[in-house]
Amino acid sequence: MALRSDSNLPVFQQVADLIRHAISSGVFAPGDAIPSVRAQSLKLKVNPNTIQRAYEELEREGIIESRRGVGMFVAAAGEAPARASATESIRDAFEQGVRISIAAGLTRAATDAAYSRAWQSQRSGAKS
Amino acid sequence: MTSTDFAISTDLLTRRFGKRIAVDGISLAVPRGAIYGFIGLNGAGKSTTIRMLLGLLAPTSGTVHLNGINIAFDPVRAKSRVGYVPDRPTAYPWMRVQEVIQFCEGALPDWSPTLASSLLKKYRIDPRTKVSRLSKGTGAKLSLLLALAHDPQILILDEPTDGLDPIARDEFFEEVLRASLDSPRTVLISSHSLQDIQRATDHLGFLHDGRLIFQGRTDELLGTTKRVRLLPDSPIEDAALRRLSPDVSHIAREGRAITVTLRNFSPAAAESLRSAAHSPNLDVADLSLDDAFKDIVKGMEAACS
Amino acid sequence: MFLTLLRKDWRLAKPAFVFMLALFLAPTILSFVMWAYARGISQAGYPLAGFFQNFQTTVLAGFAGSLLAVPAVAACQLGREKRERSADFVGAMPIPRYRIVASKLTVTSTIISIPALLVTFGAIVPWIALANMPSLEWPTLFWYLKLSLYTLLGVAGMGWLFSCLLASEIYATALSILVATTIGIGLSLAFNTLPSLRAIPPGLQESYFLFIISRLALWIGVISFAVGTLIALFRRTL
Repeated sequence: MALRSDSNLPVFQQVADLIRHAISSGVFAPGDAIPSVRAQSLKLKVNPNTIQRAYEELEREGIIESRRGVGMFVAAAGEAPARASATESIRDAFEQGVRISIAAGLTRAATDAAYSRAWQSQRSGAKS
Repeated sequence: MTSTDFAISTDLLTRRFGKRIAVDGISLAVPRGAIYGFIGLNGAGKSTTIRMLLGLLAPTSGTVHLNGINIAFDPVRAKSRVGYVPDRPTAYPWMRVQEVIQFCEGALPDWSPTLASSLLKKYRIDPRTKVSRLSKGTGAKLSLLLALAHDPQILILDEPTDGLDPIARDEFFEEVLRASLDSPRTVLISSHSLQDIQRATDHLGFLHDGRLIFQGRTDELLGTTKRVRLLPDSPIEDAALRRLSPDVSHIAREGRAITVTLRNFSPAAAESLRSAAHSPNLDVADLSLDDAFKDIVKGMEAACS
Repeated sequence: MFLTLLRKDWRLAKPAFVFMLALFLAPTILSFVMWAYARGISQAGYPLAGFFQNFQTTVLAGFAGSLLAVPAVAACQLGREKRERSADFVGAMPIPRYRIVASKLTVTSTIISIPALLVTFGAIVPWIALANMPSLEWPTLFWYLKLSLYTLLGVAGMGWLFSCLLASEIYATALSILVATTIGIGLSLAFNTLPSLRAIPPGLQESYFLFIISRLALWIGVISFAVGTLIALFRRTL
């Protein structure tokens, strides 16, 4: 997943999603340090204030915690809320798919089949 | 607020070239520490404005303050902590990089030779190369080095990555961002495209036909500009929609559907559009910064014609 | 700070200076080579005086040739900075404008004083060395010298002023040469066609002609340098 400049999601939301997904997929385990605002800003070429805002939101959700003078860490119980909010953001994507499906006049069964095929092709692609 | 609260501020800055008005009464307000994206299509007047900010061009009317100092009254003090990165290198093309650096060292009281040589190493510029022989990417980096080595509080960049390949562009932005992270600096960067710089900015100013058509926080623009989609029962003219609110910007039609880009969005404003258009329903969508910019520009043009 | 500016401005004018010097020295060097060659093949032996007899003429000819490059020397200071866009480079720096202009004026006046000194030296030395057979009489020589120096000032001034107004030193130099030759040709045409001027006896005609030229050159030079400097000082752009 990468930041998209044509997205209509605010950039700080996209950055927060990026971290949530990284945590729920195990890139960062509970207790791991996550990149500093400065490092993240340089890596993503995003304004440091925007990164700060994303981190504040993640901290509010209990996904990450700051340790004074050391930096930001994945909270011990951070994985569950990360997964929950990752699920939430994924639901947004699905809702969009369902909207397209309804607009195109497809049935529930056809939509489900399309979803299953997408899942299979992505999973097999990921494994090979 | 007064001009001293802003790193860069202009008051009704205007420049005419003969009969043509290149810059038309713009009042920039760039807060300290901001990364300000100065966005406009080619020919909108960005370079003319920037040249006036630096005292390279006298305004027809209006004033420029840098760090609260009027550039017309005390140009030397106003420019003392300002770095300028032009769209292509302006350093003496017949000098070698080393000679340009020596020249700056002799000419600028705040120049730091240690900072200059460390940046030279970091940017991998060969000091023996002639300025005219530098590649575009390296030339842009040299301009950045020359602008940064006297540790400016204000950094002004005029389309610095125009004509650079994507990798050089990325590297360049990273260095600009690093420069703004390293010490408290205000950065004003102009571009004809939002794609490049929107994520790095926290403030934006849109320039169109010499006029500042939006200025504010980046997230504020996203939150307040929305697209409203209507399906009117009876046809309605663009002009009728525009009369409803000055916030009506771009109007797009497709079949029976009308999509209105609304600035300073509020549910009440959207509702008044809906009832005026006799539309049974109303669809509100967010839009990306790039689309917001394009819609506002197109809306300005449609409203003026 | 000022030394840095001087060094830069000197390098800015160097190509034009080298060109000017080459034009200045070419006739004298050529004449020396010819004299040396003639001496080599001649049995009778040519004294050095033979070379010096033509010395004044070649120096004056070289000087006249170098006048072509003099406007370029002056125009480089402002025009080349504009053409190469380095005017923006120094312009954006916190350097007082008067220092930028003062450095340019210092370099220009120093460089154009070199052909002035050389022509004076070249004209006077043989006159002293060959006291018994100078090719020109003292008052005439003095008169020619004055004319030379005023013309030098005139064309340099035009180069300076035009480079303030135009975007490139090349245009400024071309315009200076054009204006100078137009004045020269126009005036000589006037002497040849206007009945009132033709009525003047031929000997006096020449003195009148040279007098007008020298006065014109002097005033053009002084006024151009003054106006150009004022523009450079008070206009924001170079």
